[in-house]
Amino acid sequence: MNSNFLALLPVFLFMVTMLAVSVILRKSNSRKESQGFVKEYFIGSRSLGGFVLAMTTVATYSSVSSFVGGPGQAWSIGFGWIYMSVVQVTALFLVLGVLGKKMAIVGRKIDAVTVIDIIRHRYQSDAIAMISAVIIVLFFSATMVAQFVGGAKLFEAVTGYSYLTGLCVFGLVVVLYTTVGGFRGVAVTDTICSIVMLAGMFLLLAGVLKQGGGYENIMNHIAANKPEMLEPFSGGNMPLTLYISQWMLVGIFTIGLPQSVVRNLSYKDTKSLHRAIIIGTIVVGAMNIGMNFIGVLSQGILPEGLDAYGNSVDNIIPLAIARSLPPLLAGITIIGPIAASISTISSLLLSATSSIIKDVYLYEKEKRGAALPESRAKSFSQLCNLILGLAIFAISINPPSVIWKINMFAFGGLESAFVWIFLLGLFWKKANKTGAIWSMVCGTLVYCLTMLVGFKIAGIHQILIGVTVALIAMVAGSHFGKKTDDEILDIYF
Amino acid sequence: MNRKQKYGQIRKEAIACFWALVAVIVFWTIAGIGVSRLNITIFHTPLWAITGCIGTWIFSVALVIWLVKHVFQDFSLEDEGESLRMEGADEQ
Repeated sequence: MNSNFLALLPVFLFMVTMLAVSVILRKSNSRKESQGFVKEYFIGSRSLGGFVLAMTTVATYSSVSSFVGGPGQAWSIGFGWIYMSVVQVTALFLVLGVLGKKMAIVGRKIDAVTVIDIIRHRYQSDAIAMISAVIIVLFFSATMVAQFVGGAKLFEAVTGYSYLTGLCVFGLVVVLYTTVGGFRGVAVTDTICSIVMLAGMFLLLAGVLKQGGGYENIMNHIAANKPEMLEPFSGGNMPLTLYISQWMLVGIFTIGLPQSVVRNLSYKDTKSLHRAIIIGTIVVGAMNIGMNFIGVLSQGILPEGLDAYGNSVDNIIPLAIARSLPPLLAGITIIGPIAASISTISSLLLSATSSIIKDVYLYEKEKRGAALPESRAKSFSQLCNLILGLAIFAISINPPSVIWKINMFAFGGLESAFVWIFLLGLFWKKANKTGAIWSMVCGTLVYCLTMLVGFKIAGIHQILIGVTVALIAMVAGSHFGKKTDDEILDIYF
Repeated sequence: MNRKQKYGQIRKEAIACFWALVAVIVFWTIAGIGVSRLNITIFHTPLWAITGCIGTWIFSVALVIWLVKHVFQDFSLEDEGESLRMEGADEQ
């Protein structure tokens, strides 16, 4: 058996397992499906327990860049990069702790299945629901392409098989298992992905330590050759403004990411939520510290300058895997980053489908008094998921440059668009339709424009401008706009 | 707990999360940038990296455990009318 095949085999078996899990879950929950397909397919009939809720939230949030690009930066910057990444420990208690219970109560009361259901109801506006759907589908699609490309490139670098083979092995299967399994399938496969990510991380850590001649040896090498890697500001490579930017971008304002917020509609009870906050905080910290620590330690096996490694930090982790582990173990280890990639794709794909089907198509049909029967809604939902997934897959074969631009804008764009819509919508009575539309439109546009021209204030990432403009627009719009009806407000306050 | 009481509790929990965020930011700053000024190395690792990274992580986990035990409360997520009906049904 050749070594390349040994590296391919674990990923292949892993993907087959993911598909099998989705099929089994779908079959075993067919009874719940008969009680309401849309609710089961898009939010798993509000039945997630604490462990699965924590793992699916963490897995959705941890993308391929948490396993490849980020640790590659840590290889270059040093401990400052780990110090920066640890700010993500706040993500879980913010998104679940602040928004979790109110979203769950309101969601049950108005029978919401998507975050847009809540936004539409809270602000009594079809326009804002439509803008939300467009923003979600656009940004999610670009992010999915980036995840596909990142995963396939890693696959190519580690296994020696072509980019297209990698894309087919995990890309087609993730589209298929998301289509078959729906939200419950996504949540359970995400949980398996999180466990596999942690396992892959420990395996790689052991490999890098062994190949680098032990921890002491690696640290002595860093102290002698790159002492700035041991300072928080990394000799100017990690300025304070970057820390402040990252606190906002990957810490505080992740509370506005719709793909995380939707999980608040899916859990069973408050006990599950509390458990998820604790487990999620433990896991997100372990993953971020662990992977970036491996990045730093990779200096022990990749000691030359970046030009020796193809001038891209994205090559560091694939090279570290290939150089520190035998083919079979390397094959097992890359399941970690592949899992990070597919768990993000599956959640985004399902959320994007729910926006198209539930928030636009089914809603418009119902509004015109032509509500679809359950069986048609079922086939439309699955078909839409499959077509969208295959379209994203096809784009990923050779992505046009505009996709990279949209992807660059996606994370901060979603935060700018949604953070105040959720936060003030649930905790500020005066927030109304005008404020919400102004906030979403102005926040997103100003953020994207400033990103496009590279305009910053005090050297801080454009997310500062995006969320500030969105906040001002929400407050101003709510001041000038018509007050929300009392009967609606009564549900939220 | 009726719905208004639940919403009051939710508000309290959200404010507690905000203060937890402030506490993590303060701890992170002192344990990382602050400790780096001491120039101490333990086990070939700068102390600030241990306290700033692993310390912040442990601090955050301890904080959320404290929040869940002492601030957060369990209650039904169903509508108050519905839960009252269910309680009534249980009593029967």
